[in-house]
Amino acid sequence: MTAGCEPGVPRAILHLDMDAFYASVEVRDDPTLAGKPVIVGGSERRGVVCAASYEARKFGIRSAQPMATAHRLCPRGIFLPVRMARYREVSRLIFAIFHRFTPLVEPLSVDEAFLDVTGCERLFGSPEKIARDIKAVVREETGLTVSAGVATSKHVAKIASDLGKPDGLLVVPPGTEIAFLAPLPVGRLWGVGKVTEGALERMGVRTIRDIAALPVDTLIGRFGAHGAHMHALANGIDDRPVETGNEVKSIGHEDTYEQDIRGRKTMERQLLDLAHRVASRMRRHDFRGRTVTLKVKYSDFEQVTRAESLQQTTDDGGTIYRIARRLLDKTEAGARPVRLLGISLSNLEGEEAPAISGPDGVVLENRMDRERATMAGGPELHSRKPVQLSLFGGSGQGAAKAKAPEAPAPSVVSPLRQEALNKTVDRIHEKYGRKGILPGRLLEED
Amino acid sequence: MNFTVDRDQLEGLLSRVQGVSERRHTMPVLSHALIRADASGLTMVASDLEIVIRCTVTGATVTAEGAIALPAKKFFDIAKVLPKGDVTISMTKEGTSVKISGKSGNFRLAGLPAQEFPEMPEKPSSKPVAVDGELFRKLADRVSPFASSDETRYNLAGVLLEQHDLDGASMLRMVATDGHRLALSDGEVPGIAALFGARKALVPRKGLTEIRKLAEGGVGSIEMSVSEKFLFVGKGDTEIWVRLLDADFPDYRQVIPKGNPLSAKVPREAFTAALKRVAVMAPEKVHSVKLAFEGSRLDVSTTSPDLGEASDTVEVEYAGEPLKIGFNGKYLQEAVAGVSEDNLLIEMKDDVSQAVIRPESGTSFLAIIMPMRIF
Repeated sequence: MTAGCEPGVPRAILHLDMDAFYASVEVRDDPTLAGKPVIVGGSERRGVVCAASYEARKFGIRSAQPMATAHRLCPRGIFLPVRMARYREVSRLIFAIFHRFTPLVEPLSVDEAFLDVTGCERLFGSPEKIARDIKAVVREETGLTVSAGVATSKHVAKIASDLGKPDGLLVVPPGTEIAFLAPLPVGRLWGVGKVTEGALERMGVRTIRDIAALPVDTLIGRFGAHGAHMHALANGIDDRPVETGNEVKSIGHEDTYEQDIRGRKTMERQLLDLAHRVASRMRRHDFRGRTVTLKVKYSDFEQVTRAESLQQTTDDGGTIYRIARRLLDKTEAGARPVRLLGISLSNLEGEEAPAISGPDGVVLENRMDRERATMAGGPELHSRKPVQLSLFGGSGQGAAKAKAPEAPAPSVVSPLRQEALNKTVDRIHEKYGRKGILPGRLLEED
Repeated sequence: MNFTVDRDQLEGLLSRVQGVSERRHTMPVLSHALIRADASGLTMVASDLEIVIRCTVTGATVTAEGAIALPAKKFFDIAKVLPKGDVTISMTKEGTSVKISGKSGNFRLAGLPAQEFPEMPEKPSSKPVAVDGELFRKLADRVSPFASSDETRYNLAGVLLEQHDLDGASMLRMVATDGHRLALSDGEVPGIAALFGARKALVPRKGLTEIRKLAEGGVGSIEMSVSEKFLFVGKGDTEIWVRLLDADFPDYRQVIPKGNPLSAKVPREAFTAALKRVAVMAPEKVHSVKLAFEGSRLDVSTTSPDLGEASDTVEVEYAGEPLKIGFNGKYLQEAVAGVSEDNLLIEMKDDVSQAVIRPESGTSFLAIIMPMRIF
């Protein structure tokens, strides 16, 4: 759902971003932690910082830093494990508050969202007042602080909320976007990471003003379509609508390993494990996906992704594994040690998600509830979307592009038998847990 | 360059070539038709690099030889608005545009140098084989809806042409599949073995359509020959080269089921009508239709969850166990359209295996459709 606003009327977009969300929830649940450096993150040896309270940030601790570094920077900090279920619970409360003001809520994660409040003035007052009211209600009902950016586009609103942190409220009035953006460093632009920033720096481009002044052709020549996008953003142009998140866009799984893995065989086994886990999640939620994405993080934290699209959607672990293994060949995994592997499926096809908004996890949980209800009502109520069966089995069978790399070997089992097998495996998992039945290779020792 | 040609002839020529011209802007010259006037008359060529079409007119009076590439669509639009009678086309002094004048109306049309036009492919050296135009059209019409329209499925985006022996008769066979269904159609063409004996040709859909158009115009046969890269077809004053797809067509024989035990004899017209009727209510994207066979009754039905249902009954001959099976109704309609006999056979095994649709007698056509899981 998108805002149906009249052309010419400037939009009113809010970006709301909870301050140090995980850490703030921990402090709220244990008030004795107030004022102390609180760091929430993964297990000590390998994990990364997920959130740090503002007190902890004074020590130089940042999100995504290895926990080991955080320990070094702040040995007396309070280190806590991630309690995702709890954060989701609080997140639900906060999103419910957002929804009191507008149905147009686009969740970016559990603690961040865009709201489109165009045309809500009569009801709730100016966009600035709405932002102030939301901040007050969130504080009153959850005890947490949220930073808000108010602008005519998502991009500018996001930068504004960021600049105001913590507990900020920054309004960029219509017509002042370009002046607001101009002096900021290029790294503030959406989609400009370290690599792009470096490349821009070598071109002598440091501020958003510099980008806006460049001919768009120069940027396209250097960065392709992304260049055109940057140019538009730098000139304050960003028409992307606020999209309510009632659609799951991808389903995936990733693991950070206790120790860097080096052996190709070990990596393949990890991929097999991931592939089956992703596949069973897909099946549990009645999704099929077309695009397989492999994520590899090397020991030095450099991260690459490789993706490939299938001709037909799949929810089969074996098929996902075969693609992922081939994608692994396109990385330097093996030559370089790997600390994280992840597989996700996107381009999803499946039942429409229920029309509720909220971060990903919320949507999925609700789907599960509904599924359970359906199953309780008997199997005949569980109607499936029609699925066109395929003549040639396997994912890539007979469908490789000319001169394209060889298609992965098709499954030796016919797709229908594979599907029946997968269903049986799912039932065993339901009854005996994930270890109830596993591919033999996952039982091997390294 | 200076020549005079009859307006109707000019329009006819342009209507044939401009369909091939590529209007996308990757190579500007491909949106142009190459016009050449010389001793042999007036020749026009259009190409999108995959398909090349060349037409010659002998009726033109050439007073100065020359060549230029002109925007095909615009030239065609001009020809259409000129009055009947002679049209004179002459190169301007700079050689970068032409003047076009009819009995009424004067135009100047800017072109591109003839040298920019891609070179003509050579004609295959194999001896051409004559194929009846009507037969070619029939085979192409039966199978081409079955080719994949998904450009990423490169090897399925075309129609396979090969030869097939049937009791000593030499048949031209066309096969197409999109991965969910498959059609093949045979027609006798004496001498076709000489062409496709050693080599099959995977012809892209658009190319096949151009050849079909040529085969359809007027009576008579088309001359067909093939090289490693091109299928070449000539008829009268028109020649077409179609670049073959360089990909492996799947082994289609593998998916043709042998001896499906459940066979229904279905009257074609009544079944077609029933399919069209229920299609009105079929869900838009998937077109799912249910068939229920029991005794002499075939129930055709469909359900759109938010909209409603439709059903119809066809009298059939069916002796097997009652069977309910789902299909994409569009696939069924296109398969049934390939049958020209009064009765067709639907041969099935169960509700998840390939079903065969073919005429009650004869082997000219065979369609295979994978069911849709609906129940």
